[in-house]
Amino acid sequence: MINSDLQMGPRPKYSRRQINREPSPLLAASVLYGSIILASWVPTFLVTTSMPLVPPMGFLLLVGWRLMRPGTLPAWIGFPLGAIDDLVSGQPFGSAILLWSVTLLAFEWFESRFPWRGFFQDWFASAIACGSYVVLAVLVSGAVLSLPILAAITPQLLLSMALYPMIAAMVATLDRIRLIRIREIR
Amino acid sequence: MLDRIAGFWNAGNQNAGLREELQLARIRLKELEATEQENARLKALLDLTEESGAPVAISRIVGSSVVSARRFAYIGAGSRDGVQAGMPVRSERGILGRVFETASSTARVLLLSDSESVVPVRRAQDDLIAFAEGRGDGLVRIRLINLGINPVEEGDVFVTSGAGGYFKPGLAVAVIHEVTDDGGLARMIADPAGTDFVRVEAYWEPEAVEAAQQSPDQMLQGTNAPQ
Repeated sequence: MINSDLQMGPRPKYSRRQINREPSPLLAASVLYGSIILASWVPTFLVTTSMPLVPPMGFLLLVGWRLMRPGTLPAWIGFPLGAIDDLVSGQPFGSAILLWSVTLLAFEWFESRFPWRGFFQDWFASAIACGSYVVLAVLVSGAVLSLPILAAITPQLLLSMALYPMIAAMVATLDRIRLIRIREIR
Repeated sequence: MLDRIAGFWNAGNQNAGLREELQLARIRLKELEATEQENARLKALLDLTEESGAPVAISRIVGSSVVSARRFAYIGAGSRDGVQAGMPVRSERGILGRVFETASSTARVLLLSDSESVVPVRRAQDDLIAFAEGRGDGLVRIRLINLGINPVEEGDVFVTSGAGGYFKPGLAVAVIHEVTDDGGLARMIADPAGTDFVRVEAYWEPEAVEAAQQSPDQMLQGTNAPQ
């Protein structure tokens, strides 16, 4: 999976300094998965809120990577990454495992039927995925579903839908870091 | 003439200098006020220690669930420090919630505003009994046990009643901010967002907690043992 992806990166045109430099598989994997794990964990330590306020950053980044670089994330990765997210999110264990896996499978299914894509289409897909994720997460959280709780998640819902351009830019930057060419000794 | 101009010039300089000094003094004053406030807060925490016996643990809130609709906080004390599930967690202002589950060095706290949290409370000035239920959006719903004419008024303070044996009676819980048909909506007095240090306290009445954890049959067997 990783190797096929690494060959997609742009080849350097000239410059002797670039000879014998290849992207490192270790860096490629750790930036990819590390960024999603960090996005799940970091918001937990920043602020204590009395209502759900922060958009699900881990999920947003997962969707961002999936849409920006299709093929980098295997479909089963929702299980381990979701499990890590569940440890800190406050959701019952298994909630993100289920929802992240279903999301990746849904993208897989959708993409096999509608292969063309553009930025706004990606934004639309991300908005649908994140919107339904926030609502479904409340459903499986074990919270008593009531009008006040639905009103309380509205800011989170809107934020997570509107955040895609920022996530896309972040993923693009991380992707450049991920594929930095490093001297390779053979 | 020249002296006069020089005087004006100097006055301007002096004015600017004094203004800067005043600004610095104001900043310094605010810093001192902050120190004073911190002092008062820490003293309150200490007084609290003297008034209600040694706590099980004093810790910091290290994190919280900001994404999920459930309201949990994480504290830096766990089963190694003697923390057990169900123990009350409070700040110097009032009740924050109770320990939900423990690891060896951290614990997860179910906050009052979680929609699964229920705390028995009473009105501070009389014995109006109610339940404080979290709503999940930062407010607490006060639901009276005796229905009838709703005597609750805006600004009423509700404190723990001690029923159930978990919480010590008389700890501040919430202030009514909107009256409803069967009680009111209240704001928490100890907002987790403004809390740094928390105290984990022992069960108020360990016997009551133990009894509540047993099934009614076991309790009957216990009382009828001599026969």
